[in-house]
Amino acid sequence: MNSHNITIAGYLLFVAAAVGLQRLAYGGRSRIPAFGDLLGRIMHTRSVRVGVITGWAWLGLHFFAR
Amino acid sequence: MSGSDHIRSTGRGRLTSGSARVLATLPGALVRMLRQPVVPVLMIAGVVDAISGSPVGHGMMLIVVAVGLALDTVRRRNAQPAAPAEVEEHGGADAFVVLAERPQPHAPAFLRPAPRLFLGGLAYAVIVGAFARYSWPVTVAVMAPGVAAIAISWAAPSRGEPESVGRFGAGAWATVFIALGLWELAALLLQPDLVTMSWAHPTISYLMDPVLASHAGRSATLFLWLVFGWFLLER
Repeated sequence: MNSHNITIAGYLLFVAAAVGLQRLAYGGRSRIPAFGDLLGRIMHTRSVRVGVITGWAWLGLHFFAR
Repeated sequence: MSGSDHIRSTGRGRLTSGSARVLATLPGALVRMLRQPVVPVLMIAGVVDAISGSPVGHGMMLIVVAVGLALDTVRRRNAQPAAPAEVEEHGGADAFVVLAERPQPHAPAFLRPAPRLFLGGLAYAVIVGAFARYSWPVTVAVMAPGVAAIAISWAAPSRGEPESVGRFGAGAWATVFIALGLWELAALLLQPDLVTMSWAHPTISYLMDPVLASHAGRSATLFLWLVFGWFLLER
């Protein structure tokens, strides 16, 4: 396995971990919050809310804009 | 003392006492600003983005928002002095954050789920996806919803304190995202240099290049980007 495949496997592992956590969140009496609930919690202050939305806007610029 | 001397002296006195007051509050203001990690995080991200070869505007946007947030927080704090009960309730150290930032956004009415919102987003993605990457039309088209979303999130009204999230669950999510960030950073640093992408150590940007090479790929990515932005504004 070369470093290219190892790097991609790493990304896939994180995607799998996120999907796994989200599935756990919807299980009964789970201690894991759903991703949306977590965002709702951390985004209740103005600075975090604006910071997260700015990160999202930057993502669009990064992939498309000059 | 002549009249003009008196005026000059009084003016200087006011200036001195005003400056002293501002200087006296600076250390506290600085500490409070640093307690909000968003401002330094945006600053650092803006600088790193600029030195990693991205167009200047991307990093500048992060820095401008960081400066705006810092100034806005100070302004709100000065405009709304702390009520002792509120300070007591939330603890002295965190009271600044609580008083300066009112919780929870309400997305504007036009962002409520509706068929026309979905169709509008789809039309946007199809039309903007036809533009070449890094062209001026796509830059303007992506900048517009980005700036609008930042303005909406900035002006969003309060919606009360959300339910708390346990440390274990928050830690689990944080572990995944921090690890992903470090993985991406490692791939970035293992490139020949910050601006030359590497097949052996691909970053997410590198892996997205083939996807964004086609109209369909760009449109799908833009649509998902819009949906994620809407999801964030709804939080």
